[in-house]
Amino acid sequence: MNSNFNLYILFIWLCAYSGFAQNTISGTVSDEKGQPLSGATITISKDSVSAIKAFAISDTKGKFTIKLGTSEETFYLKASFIGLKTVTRTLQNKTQNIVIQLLPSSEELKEVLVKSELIQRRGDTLSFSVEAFKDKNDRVIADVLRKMPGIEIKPGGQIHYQGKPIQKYYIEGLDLLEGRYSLANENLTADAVSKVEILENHQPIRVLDSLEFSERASLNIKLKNAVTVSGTAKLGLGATPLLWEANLTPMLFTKKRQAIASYQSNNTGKNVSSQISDFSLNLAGNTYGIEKEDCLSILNPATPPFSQKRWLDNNVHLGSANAIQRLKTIWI
Amino acid sequence: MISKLVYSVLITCFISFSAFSQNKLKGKLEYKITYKLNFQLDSTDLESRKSELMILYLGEDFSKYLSRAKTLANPIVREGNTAHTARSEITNFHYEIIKQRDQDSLLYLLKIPKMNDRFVYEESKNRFNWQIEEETKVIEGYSVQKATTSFAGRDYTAWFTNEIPIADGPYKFNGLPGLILEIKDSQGYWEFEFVGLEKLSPKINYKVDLKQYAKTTRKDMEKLWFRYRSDPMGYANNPNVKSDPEVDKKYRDLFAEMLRKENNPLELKAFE
Repeated sequence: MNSNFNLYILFIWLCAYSGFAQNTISGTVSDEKGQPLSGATITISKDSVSAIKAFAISDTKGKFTIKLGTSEETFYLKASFIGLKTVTRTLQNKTQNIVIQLLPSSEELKEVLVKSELIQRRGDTLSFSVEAFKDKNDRVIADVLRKMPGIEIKPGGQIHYQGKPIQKYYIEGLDLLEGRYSLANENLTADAVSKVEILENHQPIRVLDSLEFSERASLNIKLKNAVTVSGTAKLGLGATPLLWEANLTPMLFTKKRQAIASYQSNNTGKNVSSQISDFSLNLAGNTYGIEKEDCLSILNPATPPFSQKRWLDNNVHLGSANAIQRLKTIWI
Repeated sequence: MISKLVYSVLITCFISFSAFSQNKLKGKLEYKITYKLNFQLDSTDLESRKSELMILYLGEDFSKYLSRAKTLANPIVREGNTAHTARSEITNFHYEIIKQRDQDSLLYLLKIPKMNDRFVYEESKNRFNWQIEEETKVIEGYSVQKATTSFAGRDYTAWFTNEIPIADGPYKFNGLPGLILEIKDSQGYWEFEFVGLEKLSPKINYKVDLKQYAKTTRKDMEKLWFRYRSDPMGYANNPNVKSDPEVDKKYRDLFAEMLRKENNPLELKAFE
């Protein structure tokens, strides 16, 4: 009440100040049955495209009053209500009373889809939305992983998180490939993956959970569908000299069972063996060298300073088959 | 003299009764608007900035505003996904705000977490003196216009769109000739961004029985909420739960510390 009164005073004062006669437009808004419509918006602007100058919301009796703060000869009035057809009128600038009826319309609001959040954190788990990081050039999940903050993929295929190698590479919570995760990482299509989760300070051995603190992170690939058939099939041939490159890697992921098989072969200098190199932590850094000195030796040929693909004269056939069966559901 | 007093008491009683005469609220929710709320609960600590998704449901006769986490209160946990850290959704906002189209007041509903205590207060919807400005821009395909207001001790800049002709918005904000898609205070402590709009099909049935809610005032609700936050165990007062007084004190100190850091609520000054 008090604020209304203040408004009123302010309005009178403004009127006196502005120095020209203020015309008001008042009226009622009703629906197709003639029932008063409350909550309809009535706006005043110069023309159909310009910004709103004044407005009113119809009250519980469908009534509204707007002060026309304009000296133009005509103005544009628009009355709308959600789900009803908008009524527009061009009116003369004078004090008047109008009646507006809004009829039903089939027009709907345009939808704006909620883009999935880029990164979400829940406790020790960071989850990255693959959709947000992927662009059309990315085919396998490794291409997308590379772009995620904190994640780095070394030339050999080893994944590092915050500068440290990851501990486990899970797919839907199952550790199918153990240290040889490159095989999945470089063959699983990015389209099949919904999220990549980073489990910080992850202790993979459940007995030690909350007893022994782990500094390492693990990675979990979350798939879009409960049953996913994915993989890569690629065949390339070249003549004189005969060159070939083949990669057939079917994958199957269900809630209980996961399998990845792979046959890869080429003589184009691509070192596919990196896909099955083991990045398990217990192997990393435990290389023992025996100190010995030879009296005579042949100089080892130096590795050429350009990419291995250009100098490796190979003829490789690689086969791999992996399967895992979940026996019991245990929450981590 | 006495009869006058009796009369005025009677009238007050009558008014307070009639205000809640509509005990059941029923309707269908048609649209779901998602906002991202960026907020800073501790004005002295930039690191305390957080974000949460908030939902405004638009129905035929009323709108409902609440945290997205509250809408996911009973998630169906996917089985067999062991690497998933299952934690219940956590939110900073436990209330719901209902704005009825044909009422001049809004309802603020609060259920004390994990308890069956429900409270409601009613206050005027028309607390905004909007100033419309000429400036326009486009948000997610909707052309929006600028408006300013002050509310509960903060100055706000809002962007509304007449293409969604409903005088509503996030939190208690309303009264513009179109939906408020973006609103933030001048210091950037409380900022609502538009994230999405979805037509609900089928429409969601919504029903709330106000009889289950104890009527209170804004002030009392704040006091009560503070009492709960500073000592949830004490509030629950469950005779079956016995705790060590020392541990209890430690908890209370922790909660006090937490509350001290929440010095920057959206409504800085209470509305008189």
